[in-house]
Amino acid sequence: MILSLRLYPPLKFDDGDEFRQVEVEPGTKADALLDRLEGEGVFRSYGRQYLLVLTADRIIRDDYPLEAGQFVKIILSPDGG
Amino acid sequence: MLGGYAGKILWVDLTERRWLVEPVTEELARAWLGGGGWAAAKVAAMVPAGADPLGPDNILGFFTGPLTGTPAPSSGRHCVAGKSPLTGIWGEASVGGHWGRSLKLAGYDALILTGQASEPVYLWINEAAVEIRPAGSLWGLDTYEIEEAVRARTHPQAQVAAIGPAGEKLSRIAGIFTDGREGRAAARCGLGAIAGAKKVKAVAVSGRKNPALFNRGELLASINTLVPALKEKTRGMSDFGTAGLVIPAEMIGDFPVRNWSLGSWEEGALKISGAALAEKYLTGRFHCWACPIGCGRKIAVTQGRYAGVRGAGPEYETLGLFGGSCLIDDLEVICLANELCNRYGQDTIEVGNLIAFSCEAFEKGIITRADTGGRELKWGDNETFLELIREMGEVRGFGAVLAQGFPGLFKRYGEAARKISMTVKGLSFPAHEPRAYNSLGLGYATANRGACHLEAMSHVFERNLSLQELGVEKPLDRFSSQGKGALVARAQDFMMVYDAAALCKFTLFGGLTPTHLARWISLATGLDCTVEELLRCGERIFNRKRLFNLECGLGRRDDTLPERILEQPRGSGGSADNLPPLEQMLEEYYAVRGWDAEGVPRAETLRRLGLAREGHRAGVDRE
Repeated sequence: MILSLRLYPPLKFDDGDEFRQVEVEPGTKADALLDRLEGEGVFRSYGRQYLLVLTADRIIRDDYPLEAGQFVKIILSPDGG
Repeated sequence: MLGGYAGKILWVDLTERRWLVEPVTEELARAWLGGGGWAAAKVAAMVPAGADPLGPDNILGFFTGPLTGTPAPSSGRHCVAGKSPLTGIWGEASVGGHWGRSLKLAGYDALILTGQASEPVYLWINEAAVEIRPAGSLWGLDTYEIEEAVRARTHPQAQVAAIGPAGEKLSRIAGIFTDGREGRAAARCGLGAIAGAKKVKAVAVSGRKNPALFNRGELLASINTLVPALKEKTRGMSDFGTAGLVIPAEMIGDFPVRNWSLGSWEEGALKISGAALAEKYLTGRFHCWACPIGCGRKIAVTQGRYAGVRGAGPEYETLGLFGGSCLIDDLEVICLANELCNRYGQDTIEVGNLIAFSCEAFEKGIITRADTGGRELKWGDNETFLELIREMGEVRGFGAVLAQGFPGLFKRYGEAARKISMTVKGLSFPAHEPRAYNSLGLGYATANRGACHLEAMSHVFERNLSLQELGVEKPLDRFSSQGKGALVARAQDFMMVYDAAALCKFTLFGGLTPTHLARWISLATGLDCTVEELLRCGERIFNRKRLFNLECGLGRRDDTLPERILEQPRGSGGSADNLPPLEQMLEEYYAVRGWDAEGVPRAETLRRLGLAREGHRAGVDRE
């Protein structure tokens, strides 16, 4: 299935872009997607623990099952109040 | 003698121009700990409920904690407190930097100012002396200028807490600022106006007497096991400061937009984000005392119309309320606006909310050109925005009206103004949206100083944090109301401990737990306190402040939220549809707190916390 990904500053794909479409297996969960992107070096030095993932304006956790056509937003996890 | 403490509270009577020292007892330390706890014990006891906040019966206290000046990470804070000139109820602000540590090194855990000076003065406090000196030639200096001027008269490394022109002119939104150009502020609740009314321009402190510690070796060992992980977990804060919160907050729907009337502002948020600030204007970072995080941003605008701005960069709150709420998407304008507010010594949270209110009020005809000196007020108008900030800081023109804060606006413009003002108990909203986090709505409604996200900090447990000792196994559903009454009460008690220890709450993101705090306080002081005792101390502190507010005439009707937040969804973005079910959460909260249906602590609760006498004084002895 195809997902649309958007990274927010300071995160970027290695070509400098912030948008990308990726193909993943149906039933893929959020943590598997992040593992893959981390392996590709997308998150620079930040690593998984620094990220927040949203889809349909909702924060999703590692065990969330992604669905075809979803728009997934990945940001640096907020610290501070 | 207790470790961690200097062992002395300095009382300065400005009317009689004399001072005395109160020794710190174990009872005071054990029951109230320090910081915001001592503020609750001293201010609430000393200030009559009917006192004029700008009169001689109000006191202005500066309180450090048992970990201030120790190697504990992020222990550079202190608490400032008094009856608020803005709201007329409990007033308190916490501030970082280096001043608190220097007060302790000068030999004092706290400084309490009473009475009123007959002419402008500044205080010079060091290990050898306490002096009240004339400040006529310093009156009028801004908070960046005052540090240099006072150091020239005292000591080159003296730490200076000061008011700017706003406080001198009794602006109800004036704060007390430290660290000069690095701009740390006890900004909220108009406490700067108390200093202005007492004619205290500045307090300079300096010393070298580090507090003795009960068990330095074990304390250091415990701290050193946490600090590496703390630094790693707070990397985002180190890299981007609190400004790093702008993009995620907008995405979650936590970001104020157009006086809290809209739901999204993605394009604008990207222009004023932490990453944008770092890319274009960052020249370095600064740290509070003993802080491994270093969230402070040093910025410089070197080109263009606003070249010359240099020093502390805008924090998340300022970016949210100047940027999103006023629709200013020019980062250089916000940097200048931030510097102006720092120099004048005024609260950027109140300033941002007041200007956003003014734009909407002008649109609706509540405010007209007759009020604004002939100006039209428009969203995103950079020059009018900056001019209003100057007027507010100088307390002139329409700025003088705004400098009275929202309570003043309600008196002047009535119910129409109240309907579009985002305040609780007269204090305006920080840049966090109660429609984004249900527990935040309850936290705002019940916080003792008014709309405050820091008295509970519960929303972080609805975002990305868990804390088993508070019963939060994993981050909670922010749109659920289940259990939020209990969550907010527990979180408030824990945050009261943080404020009493005078520790920075950003350590929460680094993995600090109640167990760490209990251990560090025990090792520093020798008090041997458990987590349960600490949380009960926090509960005591929270209830004491509540009693003060009840004496000031507050009740359940004041534990509420603005109509816009309760009835109007944001309409778009990450929190488009949610409205916090306040009444339901409040009922649970009162029950958990051991309060009756009117929000009054029951007699049994007060007895359990050792507050029976205070409850009797407040006239709230109820079974």
